[in-house]
Amino acid sequence: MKKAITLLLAAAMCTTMFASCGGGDSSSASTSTDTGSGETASTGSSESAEGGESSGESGSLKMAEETEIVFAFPASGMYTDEGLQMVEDGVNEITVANDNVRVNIEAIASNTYTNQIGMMMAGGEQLDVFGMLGTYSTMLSKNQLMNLSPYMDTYGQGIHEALGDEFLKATTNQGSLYALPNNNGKAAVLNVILRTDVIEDNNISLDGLYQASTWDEYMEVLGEVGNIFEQMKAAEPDMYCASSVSNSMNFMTSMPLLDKLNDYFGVLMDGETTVVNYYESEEYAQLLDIAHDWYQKGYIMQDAATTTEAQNTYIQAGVVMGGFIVGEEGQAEQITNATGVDVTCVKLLQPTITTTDVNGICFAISATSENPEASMLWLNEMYTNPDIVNLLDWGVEGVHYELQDDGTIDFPEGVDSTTSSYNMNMDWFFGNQFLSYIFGYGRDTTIYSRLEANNKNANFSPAMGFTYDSTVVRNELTELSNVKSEYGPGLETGTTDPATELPKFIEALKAAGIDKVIEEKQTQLDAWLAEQQ
Amino acid sequence: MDNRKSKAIRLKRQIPLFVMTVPGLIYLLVNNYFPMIGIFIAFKNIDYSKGIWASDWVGLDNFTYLFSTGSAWRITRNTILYNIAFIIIGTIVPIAVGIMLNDIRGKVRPRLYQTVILLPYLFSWVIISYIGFAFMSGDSGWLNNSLLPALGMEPVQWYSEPKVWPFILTFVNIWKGVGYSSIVYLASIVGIDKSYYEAATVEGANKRQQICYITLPLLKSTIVMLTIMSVGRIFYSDFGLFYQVPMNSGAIYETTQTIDTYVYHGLMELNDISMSSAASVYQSIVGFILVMAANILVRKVSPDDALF
Repeated sequence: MKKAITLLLAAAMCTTMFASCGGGDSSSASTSTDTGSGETASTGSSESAEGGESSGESGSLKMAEETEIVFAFPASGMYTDEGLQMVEDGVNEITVANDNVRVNIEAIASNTYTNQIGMMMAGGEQLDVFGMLGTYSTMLSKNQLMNLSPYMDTYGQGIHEALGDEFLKATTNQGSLYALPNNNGKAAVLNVILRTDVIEDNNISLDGLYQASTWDEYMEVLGEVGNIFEQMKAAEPDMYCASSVSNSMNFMTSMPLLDKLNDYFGVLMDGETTVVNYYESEEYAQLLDIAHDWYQKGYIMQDAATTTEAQNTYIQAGVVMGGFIVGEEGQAEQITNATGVDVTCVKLLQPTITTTDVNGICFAISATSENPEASMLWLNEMYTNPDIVNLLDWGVEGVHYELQDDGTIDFPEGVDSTTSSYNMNMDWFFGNQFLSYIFGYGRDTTIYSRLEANNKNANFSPAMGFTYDSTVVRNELTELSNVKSEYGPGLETGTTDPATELPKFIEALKAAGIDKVIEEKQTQLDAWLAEQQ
Repeated sequence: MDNRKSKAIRLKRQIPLFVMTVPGLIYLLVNNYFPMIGIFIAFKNIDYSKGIWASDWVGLDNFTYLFSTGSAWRITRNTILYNIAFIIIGTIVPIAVGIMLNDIRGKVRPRLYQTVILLPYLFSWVIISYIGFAFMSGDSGWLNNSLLPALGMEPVQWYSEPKVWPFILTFVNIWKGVGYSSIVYLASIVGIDKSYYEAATVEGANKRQQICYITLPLLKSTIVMLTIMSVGRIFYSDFGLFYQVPMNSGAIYETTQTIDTYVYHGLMELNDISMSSAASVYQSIVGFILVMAANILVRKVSPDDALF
């Protein structure tokens, strides 16, 4: 007994010693995320509840009393607290005047973002509006999102006009709207990336490439990519033609008229409404054969299945001279900007817009928010007011950017990407991208009109708007995710031989319960389709 | 009467010591005991609109995935076997190193060796995983491109060869941890009264006999204490070691996947805090039972060495 006490005391002393070292960063972490919300939680909530009611009665498009709301987003760019404060001040100048809403902007590091959001909600911290990156369906199933339908018509009219009916379907569940997709280019498709100098120096023709709309065309296009890779490899034997993105080749996970239904465990193919097993399909096997063939011919990097480096890193380092990327217009420009290597991108597929393409990035009001009206007014600003969009995207004019004579914007004199105090670079994220300036002198300013046109002309999946609730099959999904990360990277980078590994993969998926997931998806999809009639 | 008085005096003398422990106890309470309330999250289906307290109870539903799935056996087996290997080898090697360090004479050399051995302990797992990658990568790895061809051997696809990983992971773990643990043992060895060794030398005992009959028996309680502590962590695995060092390569999951990496993979996309809480409640309870059992066992065999 005595020993136990001694031990406990010793442990207690040790922990005090360590407390001084560990405490340092935990406290600094909490202060950085708490900035501003401390005051709001105490003063904001009581006031704003009244403000909400009174304006609801009057029905005006302005809060009766000044209301403070908290807006959180996953920050992936570079900024300083000072720069963010300038943006917040700029935003509030507009929103207080227009809507009587004061917005506290909370930039949260994107790697811990989803957890932080959950923590804020569970911990009773004020959170009103937040952005989401691919977490719509899981957050919906955890009841983290507020039903927006009652507020949309009164406070969010501009959003409806900006987005149109079709995209709002992607965030509608059983007739109620739970989030707002951002407005940007949704028609992302598979692109092949090729180093321009290698192509030009060796007179390699890209004429055989086009946007496939059927399976046979896709096979033809990939065959042509194989020919181009062969010529490139012959010219530059020391470089690979492709690395991998998240341990998979993007052409493995794309095909014409495919709807991956959120996670590839049960998909729709050929525009049908029958849920099928993607990994068991003839098409998947054919794609694996192509990948394995390319791997054996040395087109694909040997470490593709294990590397965690970004594709751009390898392009920059001259390890690879190409690759694949899923994206909209302007991919080549972005890669060239990021790596300093001049590349060409060619689209290989006709787009099929699916639910997850649309709701991948979206905005919602927290289920715990006490200020839904003010929140909706703020969202409305983000979808309709170019000044707000540009403040969030690029910062303050004259400080973080300056208008150029060709209609683009760029850094002002003496500021660059390393010294700017707000270089968020997230025009693809906030509200309505089509209201944003185009950053980078000399860049093509017609890009947004092309993106808008692509959105209108794209095919839609028959299940566009359908989101499935994975709660009942969550045990199966846990196992399936593990099975996929066990076999997927080896197969989809061509590293392992599909002849022996694919049957094992399929068997492991079945053992993990993929059939149950497919059945569940089909049931939910049928119910959803019946509801749409 | 006298006895009670002296007890009171002794208690009084100890007051400053108790006061010194108060901050530590408070820290322990706030950091280790209050969060235990969170255990109930593992038994609930969290619904954020209702709040955590009001969410529905679901019994053991959140735990089923740890047992029902095909990987359950594999992840449990890997976790336990690796930990047993780490406990055994991680005890023997540091003691050996500690004894050797103790016998190094001079001023500079002992410090130099200690620092060099300790250095890997200070590296983060990410750095170590890249050191490993520099050796084992298929494109640019030193083993495949320099060593094996020089020896006339075929290159090995390290990251898709499950057989080699039990050895690699054990080696890396020991290599990283040996410096730190050997210091713990060295501290105990230095504390051993020198007169034992002098007497032994006079009696003609050689080095080996000194180690077997003096050093090791006197280290016994330290060894037992550290072992009981590690037994409590037998259901945990060092995430950095099992996720970073194998570069999360799927082809070698058979021998690298543990409870922690499985939970991470499975729940990364599900956003289900109840299921991840369930995993750590399971690990803690098993750990608690094992620590108690190990201690009871030790108390039976040699009561002096038991922790409590």
